[in-house]
Amino acid sequence: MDRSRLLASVKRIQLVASRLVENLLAGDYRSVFRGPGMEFDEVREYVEGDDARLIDWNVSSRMDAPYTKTFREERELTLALVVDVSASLFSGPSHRTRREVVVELFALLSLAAIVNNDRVGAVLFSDRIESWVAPRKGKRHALRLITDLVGVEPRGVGSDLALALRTTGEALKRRGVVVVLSDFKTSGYLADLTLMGRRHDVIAIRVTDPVDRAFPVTGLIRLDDPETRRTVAAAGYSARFRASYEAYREQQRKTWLAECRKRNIGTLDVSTDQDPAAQLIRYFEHRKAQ
Amino acid sequence: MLVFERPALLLLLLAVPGLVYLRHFWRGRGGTFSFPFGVWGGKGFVPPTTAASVFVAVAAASFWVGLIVLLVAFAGPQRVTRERSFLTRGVDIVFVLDQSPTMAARDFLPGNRFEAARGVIRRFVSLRENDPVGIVGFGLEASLRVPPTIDYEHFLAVLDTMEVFEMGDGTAIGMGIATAALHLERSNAPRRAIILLTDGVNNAGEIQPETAARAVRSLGINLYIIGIGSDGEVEIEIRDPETGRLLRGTIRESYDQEAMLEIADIAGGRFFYAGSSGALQAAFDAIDTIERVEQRSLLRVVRQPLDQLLIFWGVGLIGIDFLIRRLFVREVV
Amino acid sequence: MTVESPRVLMGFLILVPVIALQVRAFLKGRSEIALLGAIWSHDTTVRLYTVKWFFSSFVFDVFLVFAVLAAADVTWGERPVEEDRSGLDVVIALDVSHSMLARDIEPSRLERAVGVVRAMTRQLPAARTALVAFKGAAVTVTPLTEDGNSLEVVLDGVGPGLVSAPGTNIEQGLSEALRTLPEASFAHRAIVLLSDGEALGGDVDGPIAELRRRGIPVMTVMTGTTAGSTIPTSDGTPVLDRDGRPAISRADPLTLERIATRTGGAFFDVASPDLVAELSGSLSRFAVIRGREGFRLVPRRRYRLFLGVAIVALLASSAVRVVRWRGIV
Repeated sequence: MDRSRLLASVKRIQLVASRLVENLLAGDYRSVFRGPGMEFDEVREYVEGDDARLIDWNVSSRMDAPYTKTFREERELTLALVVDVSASLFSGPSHRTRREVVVELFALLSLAAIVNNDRVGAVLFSDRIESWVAPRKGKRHALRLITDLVGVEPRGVGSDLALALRTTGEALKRRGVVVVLSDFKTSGYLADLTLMGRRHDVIAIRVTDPVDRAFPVTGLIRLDDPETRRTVAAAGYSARFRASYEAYREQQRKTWLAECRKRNIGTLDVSTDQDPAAQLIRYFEHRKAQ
Repeated sequence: MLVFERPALLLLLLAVPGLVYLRHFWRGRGGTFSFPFGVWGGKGFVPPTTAASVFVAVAAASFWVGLIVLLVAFAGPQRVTRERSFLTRGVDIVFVLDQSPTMAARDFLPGNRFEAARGVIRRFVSLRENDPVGIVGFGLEASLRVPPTIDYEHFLAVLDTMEVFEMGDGTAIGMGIATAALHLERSNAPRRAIILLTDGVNNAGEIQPETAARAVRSLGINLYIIGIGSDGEVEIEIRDPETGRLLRGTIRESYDQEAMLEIADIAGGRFFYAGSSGALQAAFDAIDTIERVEQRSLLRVVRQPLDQLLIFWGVGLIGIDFLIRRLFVREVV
Repeated sequence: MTVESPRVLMGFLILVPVIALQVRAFLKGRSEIALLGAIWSHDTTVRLYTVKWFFSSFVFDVFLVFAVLAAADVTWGERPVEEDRSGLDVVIALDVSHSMLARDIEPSRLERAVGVVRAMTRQLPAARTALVAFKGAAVTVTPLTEDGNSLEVVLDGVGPGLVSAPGTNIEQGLSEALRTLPEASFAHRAIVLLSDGEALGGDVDGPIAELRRRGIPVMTVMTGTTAGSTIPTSDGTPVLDRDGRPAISRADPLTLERIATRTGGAFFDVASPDLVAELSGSLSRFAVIRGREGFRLVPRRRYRLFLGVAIVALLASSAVRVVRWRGIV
């Protein structure tokens, strides 16, 4: 993609995303990611009605009066976006719509964070870390992130989610929000996901296509997997083949869902035939209600 | 033997493995649709074995075998046979076979005299290459069934159709010899022979055996007389060709050895007594040894092209591939 | 240019179902790839798919056309092959079908034919002769023999009764004639075919190809007139056709002329005044000329040219599918 087309594309995405964020998403975002994170503020004299559990006995004994610790809610969040740019989502023109959905979700989330004066960082990964941008504030930074993602030409084809999670975990010093954008057609990431879930607030967004649920009725068609480079002859006309494919996909989805729930990780399925913004808003409202 | 007109073209076959690789294994090959069905680092989706898998394998195999067949056809395959053709004339031999009812006597087990005679004639002919053979059958009268020919296939076919009793109840030995002599008369073969097989006494025909024997001698034809049959009572079983009735009985009749010897003597030929299958075979072996001439022949190479056949097969196999892909599995692209 | 196996050209007919299947596959495939979602419904992809389909299908059809031409065995030009023979073997293939009883030739087609054979064999005393009679099937009446007497004898008894199978199958007659000519013979070989040409079955292309390969000429004699006549039965009334009218049998020179020209023989009309002299003359001339030259000319086969194009087309058709176009399909 040449530079002018890239910029135009980013501009368009940014415009659409900004409007959506300002009108709908910003409030939800804040209310969902308020989090239990409390930051120690100061110690002051105990007054009637304060929580007795919060009395700081060390200070109290020295001062001969009851002192209590005060906390303020951590208002400033760090959002880390872990984005799968592997071939199954990003390579070739064949996966354009999957890619579009990822970009749109990315733009929405990063702009929502900026509007709320949060810091945003991004890890783009394939079978390696394609790029890592440390969390910072500001609109210019967000635009840079979006430009990076839109213009990325992944060097790797696979998707090593475990590596990406490990890198993100090492880079985030304080507790933050981690959003994983991937199709989760990868393996071996569960241990790192557990670690990540203990330290951070994690949301897994799975980007899929209708053909990831059911195979269309077609003649024999040779498919090659862009990541594993395996080829199979798909007998789309065979009911047995389609049933087997559908069962496989459904089982994949269920496993993913169960593993995330077990680790208390939020899950969102976004299909390319759905509006990503609407899905995101619905998800936030659902989280808020809980 | 298989030879090729342009064997160098067979080297094209060496390209086939490369083509198979490009078509089925090369990573960069087209005709495939990028579609993420796999799981990175995992097993991914494994399609079930359907009839399609079998069809696809059969189609691919047909295509490549078809291509190989066409490439072989391209090299100009020919079946080469060597035909011996003779520059010289062989011996003319005419059998004179007795078809009188007594030839049905069953003293040449497992069959009768006639079948035993037919068997030794067949064997005799099968050992000949360029010697024209003919046959005269006789009963009440005589007739030429096959003129001297090297078309052994035809000779044997006619021999198989000959039956006892079809020439009537009688033994016209003189007529038999004379008929054979007539058809050898104008032959310019270096040797001519008449082999008479009979079990009876001349009792029919306008020509006496002695007269015929003299004619044979004057023509320079060798006459061999083989007397078939054993002494004593013999069981006989015969179907009357006119009424179709099966006749059975015993006979006690034999050929007149004195008369036979005399005929052989007149003709300057030889007489063999064949009371058993072994003796009959021995007589034929003896004649086979005598009636041989040296022959000159040359080997001619006959080439039969096989390309048309192979093209049919090749196109057929590629047609199978086409049909499977277009009709059964409806391949996209 | 000659097509040695013209019947194979019927193979062009398979192009009709092949093209129909190709078009069907294209129409279905075009709508099906869109179902895979995303780019596959894009205009560019559909255009690529169309171009790819067109080339691969067209080139496959080219393959079929040239493979059929190769199998049909097209020849032009001639090349000599050594032919070291002397003497003459002649097989007489005599049509004994019922139509040969027609009286448009006096006294009847068959009797005239028998007369021609008799006269001809007297002119060729050194030749070995065989007689094959054919109707719906063929039988060897006399195998190849030097014994002229036996031919004389059997000619007396020649008639439709010799062969039981009804009809007129020249193919059978020629095949049986070929069989009676042993490959082992050192003599030059020729066939004389006497028939009214009214073939009711069989395909003479097979025997013609074999005759050409072995260099055996066929002299054909049309016994009958193109005007034709009725066919008398034993009681004198004519044979009737399906509508109950007397059936007219007309001699047909086309097949006979074709057999003669394709095999390097000659065509004769039984009515021509010098028939026997011309016929036996052409037979002995053929043997003399061949014997003097020591070679004969055989057609130069060109199938390799066509087969080469066919193989290249087949590989091209396959290659169109193998080569990935613009990194997409």
